Amino acid sequence: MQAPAAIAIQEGPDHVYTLANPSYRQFLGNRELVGKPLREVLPEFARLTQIVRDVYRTGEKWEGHEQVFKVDRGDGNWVEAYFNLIVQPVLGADGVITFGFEVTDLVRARKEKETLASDLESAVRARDTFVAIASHELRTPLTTLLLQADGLLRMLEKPPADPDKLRERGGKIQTQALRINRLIGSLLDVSRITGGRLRLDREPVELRALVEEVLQRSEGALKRAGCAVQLTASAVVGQWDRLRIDQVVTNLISNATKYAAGKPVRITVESDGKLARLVVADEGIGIDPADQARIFARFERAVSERNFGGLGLGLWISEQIVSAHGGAIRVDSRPGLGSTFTVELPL
Amino acid sequence: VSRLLLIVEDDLPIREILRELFIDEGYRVVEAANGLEALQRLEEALPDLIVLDLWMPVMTGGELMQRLKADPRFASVPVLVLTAATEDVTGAPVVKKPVGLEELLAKVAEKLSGGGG
Repeated sequence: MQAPAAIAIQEGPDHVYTLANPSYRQFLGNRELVGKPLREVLPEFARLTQIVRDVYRTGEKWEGHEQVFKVDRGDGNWVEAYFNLIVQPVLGADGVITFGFEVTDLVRARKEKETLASDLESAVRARDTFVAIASHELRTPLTTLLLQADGLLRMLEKPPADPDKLRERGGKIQTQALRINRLIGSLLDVSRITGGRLRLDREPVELRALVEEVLQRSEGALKRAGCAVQLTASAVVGQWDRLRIDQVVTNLISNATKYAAGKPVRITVESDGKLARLVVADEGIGIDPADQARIFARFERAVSERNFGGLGLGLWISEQIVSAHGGAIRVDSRPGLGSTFTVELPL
Repeated sequence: VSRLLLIVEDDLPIREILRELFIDEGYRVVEAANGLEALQRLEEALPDLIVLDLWMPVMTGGELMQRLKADPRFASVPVLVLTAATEDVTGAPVVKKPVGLEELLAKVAEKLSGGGG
């Protein structure tokens, strides 16, 4: 329910209040109004004062919808409220009457609806972009796979085929098939996580050994990217889901090779007895402060117009995994100087 | 003398197989991992055809095409876009990934003989 209309009358060239109903007075902090000129009691309401002056001077009615004013709700706090205002000359008198109808609830409800609609719109847009990226990323390994297979078939058609070369082609087909499978795994992770079906199989996991394992697996990619790794680690054992934590570590290291090619990567594993802390610090392109919150969101990549490969899901999935473990992941980054990702996991 | 192809592609496995297949077909090949590297290769030797990926880091295929159009030395070098992107904004002839070997070689040959737009 909205409050009843606020009504006031000011008379004469000095706009002296001759009437102010309880509702009007309450909005203005219950101050004494009648008998006082407008500019004296409402010095902070310059706009309202100006409207009253203009109506008095021109004799023309003024109407305004959803005008914002600060009002007092009776608790001494001045809060924003919306009013439909009518200010008009008083017939047969030397004065101006103001009617204020509060519409704050209506405006709020409408704004909320507008925000919801625009959130929905951007969610749909993000999903469309994601579908475009996902199909691009799936077609990329498919391209190699298909061409390698065609190349292999062509070799078989023109014997003698070099068995080493055939084996190499077969191996590359296998690699791309596995790459496609990993991408599909990430896509399934999205629906698993959004459906609340991320289940953790906890077991004792030694984080340093896990990081070393991932580094070994990533050796080729790190070398190709020209990233020298410096690992400072002590043994830390916690109750975690091995495969999921492996996924987080792999993602952070893979990001470093993507965004910090040619630069060293420093990795630290430590513990304070309660928390395990993994730090992956690169000296790459870094992340603009404006983008730093966004990178953990779904379907977001800070550098989307320049495709760095991948689905743009890695950090979102990592964040979800770390949170499911009761931990936290954060980034500290300066554009051009590099990014430092810190993962904290309760033991 | 055999024709020179410039492959501009950020995905290493694709770049490798394209190089092998084109060389098997009798072409000479130079490579670049993005648009900026492609500009460097262009300074070194003018290719008969550029096989161009679109979504790349550092400088995209679309950005490279703008640069080529603006440079009289490179404006007439034919370009064959090879992309996995669904939308194409360059207006150049496009081969969609994934593509089979026969089709790819046919498109390259057609483009080199002055066809295909």
